[in-house]
Amino acid sequence: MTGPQRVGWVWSRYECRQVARLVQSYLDGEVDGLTADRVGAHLEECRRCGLEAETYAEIKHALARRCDVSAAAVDRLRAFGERLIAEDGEEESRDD
Amino acid sequence: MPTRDDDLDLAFSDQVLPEVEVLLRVARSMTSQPVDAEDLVQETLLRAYRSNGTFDGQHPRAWLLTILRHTAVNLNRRRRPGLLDDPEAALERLFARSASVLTSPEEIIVEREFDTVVGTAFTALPDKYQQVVRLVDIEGFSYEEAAQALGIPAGTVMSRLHRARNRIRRQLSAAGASRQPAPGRMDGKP
Repeated sequence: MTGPQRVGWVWSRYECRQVARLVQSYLDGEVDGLTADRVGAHLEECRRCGLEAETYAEIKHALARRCDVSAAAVDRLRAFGERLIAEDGEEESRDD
Repeated sequence: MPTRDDDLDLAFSDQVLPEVEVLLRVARSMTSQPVDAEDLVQETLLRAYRSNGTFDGQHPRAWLLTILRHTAVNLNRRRRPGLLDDPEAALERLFARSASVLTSPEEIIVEREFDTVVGTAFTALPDKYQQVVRLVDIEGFSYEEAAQALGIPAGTVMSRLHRARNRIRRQLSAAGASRQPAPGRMDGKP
């Protein structure tokens, strides 16, 4: 990827297109450090791409608020697993 | 003297039970309700315990995820969600509101309204898209972890995820709930 393509104050469509392809992976932390630096720098200076990134970030935050896996459920399932082991052991000792 | 059963029980306790949380998060991506996810993991644990003798001691997570996926297919309990009583009506209200109120597109997003539209759009996603969004955005899995959980390539996770979020973003725009730059300013100047 070449450096920023600027004509006066206008970002070339080339750079914005590249960033548009990468922006979601960037927000997911799935791009390498160099790419992250370049995308981040563009987002700070390009208002349109920056707003798009903000929208995706807000979508991610809204979705994260829907997390409903509870510690209580995890505990119940572990207890279930422990009972499987314990009850099997009880059956074995009854057979002895 | 330790029996073979004791060894298997130990393996189950040491290797399987620590994976319960991961299994529950993956199961949540395959079901509409948390209670169904819990049932799915319970059934998976039962099957894992009964087939413990077939486990080779390597990669317990991968082994368990395979059982989970097979169990999900067999149980086949997917029901369409009822998080919003009438998702279409909620969207229509948002359309009506944005058409009648003369506000600038740069208005601050009302979080609850935003969440409602995102929620509606999320539950309207096709199952395969919903799954990856659930795993990555809600349960916090990486692309690679989601790929392993679903038994698909990471590239597939990525493309489904990006398309799914694109859909959500378009519904937000349609409902007037997203930010757009003022018309005419396509440049970088504020």
